[in-house]
Amino acid sequence: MLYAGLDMGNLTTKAVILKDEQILSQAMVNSVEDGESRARTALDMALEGTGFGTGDIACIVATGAGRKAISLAQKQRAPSSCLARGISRLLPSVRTLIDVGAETCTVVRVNDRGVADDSIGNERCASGTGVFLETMAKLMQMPLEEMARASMLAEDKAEITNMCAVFAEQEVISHVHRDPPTPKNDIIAGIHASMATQVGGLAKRMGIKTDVALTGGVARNAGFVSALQENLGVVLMVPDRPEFVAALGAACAARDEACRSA
Amino acid sequence: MTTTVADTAKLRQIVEVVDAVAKLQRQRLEREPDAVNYQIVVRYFNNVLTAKEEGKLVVAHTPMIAPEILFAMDIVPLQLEFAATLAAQIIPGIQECFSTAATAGLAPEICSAQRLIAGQAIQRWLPRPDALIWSNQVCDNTAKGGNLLAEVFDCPSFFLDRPYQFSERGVHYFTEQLKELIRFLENLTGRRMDWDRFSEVMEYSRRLQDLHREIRELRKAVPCPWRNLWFIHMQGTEMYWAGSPEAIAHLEAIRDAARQKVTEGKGYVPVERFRILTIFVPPTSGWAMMGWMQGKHGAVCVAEPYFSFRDGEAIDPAKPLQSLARKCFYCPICGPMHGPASEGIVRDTVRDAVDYKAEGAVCFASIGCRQTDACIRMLKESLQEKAGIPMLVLDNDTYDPTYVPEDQLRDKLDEFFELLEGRK
Amino acid sequence: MYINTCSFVRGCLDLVLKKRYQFLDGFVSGSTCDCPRRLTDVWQHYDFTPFVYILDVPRKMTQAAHALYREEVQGLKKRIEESFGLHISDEALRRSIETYNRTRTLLKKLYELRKSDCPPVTGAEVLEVLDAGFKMPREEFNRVLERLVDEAGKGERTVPARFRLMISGSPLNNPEFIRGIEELGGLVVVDELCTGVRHWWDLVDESPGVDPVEALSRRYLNNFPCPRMYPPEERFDRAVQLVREYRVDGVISEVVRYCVHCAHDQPLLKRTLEGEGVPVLELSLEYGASGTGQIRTRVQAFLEMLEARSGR
Repeated sequence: MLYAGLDMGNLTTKAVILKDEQILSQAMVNSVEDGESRARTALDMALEGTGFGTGDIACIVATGAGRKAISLAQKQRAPSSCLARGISRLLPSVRTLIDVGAETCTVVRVNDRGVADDSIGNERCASGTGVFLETMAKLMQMPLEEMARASMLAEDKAEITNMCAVFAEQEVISHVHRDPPTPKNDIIAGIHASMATQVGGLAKRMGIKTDVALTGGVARNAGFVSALQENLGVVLMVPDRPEFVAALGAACAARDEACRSA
Repeated sequence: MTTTVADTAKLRQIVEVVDAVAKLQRQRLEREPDAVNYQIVVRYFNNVLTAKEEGKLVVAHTPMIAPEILFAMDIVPLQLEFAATLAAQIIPGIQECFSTAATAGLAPEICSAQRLIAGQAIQRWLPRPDALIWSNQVCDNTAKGGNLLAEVFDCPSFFLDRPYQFSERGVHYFTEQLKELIRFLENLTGRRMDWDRFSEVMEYSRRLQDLHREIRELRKAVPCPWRNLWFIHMQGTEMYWAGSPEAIAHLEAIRDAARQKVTEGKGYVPVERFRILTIFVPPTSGWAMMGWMQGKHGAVCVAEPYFSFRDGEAIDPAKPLQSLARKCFYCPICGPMHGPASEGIVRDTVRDAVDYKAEGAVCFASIGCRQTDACIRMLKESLQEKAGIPMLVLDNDTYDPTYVPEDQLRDKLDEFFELLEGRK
Repeated sequence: MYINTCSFVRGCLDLVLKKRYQFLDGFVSGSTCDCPRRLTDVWQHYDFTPFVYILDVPRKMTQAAHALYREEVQGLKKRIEESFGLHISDEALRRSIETYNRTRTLLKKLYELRKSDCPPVTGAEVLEVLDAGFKMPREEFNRVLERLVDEAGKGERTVPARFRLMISGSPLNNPEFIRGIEELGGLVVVDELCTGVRHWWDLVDESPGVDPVEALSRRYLNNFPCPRMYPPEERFDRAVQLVREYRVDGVISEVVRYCVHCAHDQPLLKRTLEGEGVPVLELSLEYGASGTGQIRTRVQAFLEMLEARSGR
């Protein structure tokens, strides 16, 4: 029997398919189509080459910011509960999860039953999210992947104190135009540190219980990971595919759902 | 930039709408307390409208100026924030009020309540009062907002200075301030304070406080006999009707309805699923959300630490002035807004969570309210450590619905109740 | 604290959390405004120092307000004595008052020199001096200040002032900010800041017959008023007086975001000063911001406007 989890993010859609207990496949699509078609595309991509079709899926659960509009899914679950569910399957010792997505930043406290105990999210600000990094990458005229490397090479870090993405942009520009200009690597390290302050601040509002995991696409950025580790003073665990954790949790929830109604 | 003409059209519009709501509630089952609430709101604004022909003075004031003194002196009060709230809910055009306030030089970080009141005053939404009273009873915004308003209304004005913390010397100073206020009003009306009448008013105030405490006890019942919206109504009545028979009638209706449920062993909703602590207030445009969360999720608001009478003190109508001064240190909002938090809001919140068997807390973080927001982290941690419950923080703006759309707030609440369900 | 806590207070909290205040035994605060009041709550809640005390500070300057404030100061003295096992004698208080009054007198002299057409010091330099005063032992600061006033008084150094500016508003400790303005051609000749004149302007009464606690509480409540005080005209009148005495061409009024008292005063103060024929530039900023970027552009435009006005 197959069970699917869909994570309808702001920029990307992720699908994870479970075959009984095991992860069968996963897929991620990056598109601006409407939710329903994105969901369908992601599922089709995940099923491709597995020999199964949508008809084999017993239950689908949707999560993420765009979960509401998906008629394909039998159930909708909140991102915080799916993140807790997903991480406790991958890294059961985790008690605090920090998820940094494209436009969201969510911190979840996970209890020893693997259930979300409390959660907190950024509300009206891009400064602690992937979009912030993307804006900065554009500003620095550097691909995102290179930013991570550059900041690891920095000798010092530029001070970027403004919380707001808009003002931080001004600060970065003034570093670039300084005479002599602040080295690029140092500016990027400063950008990562400033974002770590934001994300770390949110996590501290929740309270840090170890172990701590970082998930979401931004977790792939080694420069940010080390900045956040420094900010929090803890070692961060990062799962292999950090952007699929919520979708995996949703798939697990789908399996529960199917078992419950069976 | 002054208003000279008394404009009553907007007030009449408010009265009309609220009156219709009162009639509607009257016809509905179990809505007696709501009907009484809307009825006394109508009476409140009708008093303002008819003051001139009855030869009475209208005195406008900001929140937490004890209306008791005005009632005792036969003056008609007009609580500006309350009028602003209703106007915001009923009359379109609040965004214009905000831009008027901005044109007058008020920065966006000033609390939207103050910006709205100023905008309404400049745009003549409200009749020009005979005098204005304001105070730092709540916060810096209420302390400073009066300067501009006094200029706009171009009327005599009085600033009531309230000490920060409860102490005998603080009470003494505040009593002197109230005496000064009475002298100001005596000069305004040309009449002396009627101290016997003041005692009668304070007797109503005493009964009102007893009712508050009685209702608090009833709400401890599981399931809770409570309709979520009642706490907002009840606090409104405390703020603008304290010291009047109208307030007694309203709270008695609530008490009776709650008691009836408790006797029957029933809750207000058929299935009570979550017991919720409410921290501060939902945005004015989102009051319906309180009913929605009760209907959809079975989430019942069991207590509101910012809006409760602290224990211990009682009013002595024989000493009206001293009792009133003391009341201002422990009454809803006034007490918890000032410090110190360790003996105030932090302690009370944890205590309420335990006493009312709350399963979660919902905190409305209004962007204009620096005082309540600065406590969020302390409250969240204390609730987690000492009561074992999570607290959801909903960023919003109390008066400006464009700051965070209500849909977003409802989504967050949906998610929070899912989390509470998972924790069970 | 939250995003709507002013950056000055957030900065204070930040330093505690970074363990930069490990040397402190206690924390004393006044109930001046919402943010410091809640900072005191947070300080107590997280137990940053064993001793925490907050004084009630009335917003009026009436007789009754003085009586309350005097008892608050007396209460602080008593708590310090009890908590630290000390005795604060009247004589010690008088000595301390004398030392602090010496600073005030010297600063007054320094400020007097700024009244001249070509002052000997820039506004940025004066702010540096004031900042040093917040950190140094007072006697040592007085010695340095004395030397500085002597030197400045010799008239050997003069700074040309194309435009004479006053800076007014929220807490400001950043000389760079003023330097940024002065580089553009405006000289800050006086301030109306709580880290400037509002901090040191008035003297404490040293008359032998006056009880030192009485003298202290009188001075601190009656001092150059913070925007929190009522009536607001007290502050505006004194600001106007400074503008006249220092022959100010334009006022830069900086309001730290969420400094609500200043924000409410702003439109009224602006109108008052403009009524005196003095233009006002309003800047909304974060505490510690340097005068770069957009601020520079706006100051530049303001100075050009002053230039056009004066027909220079």
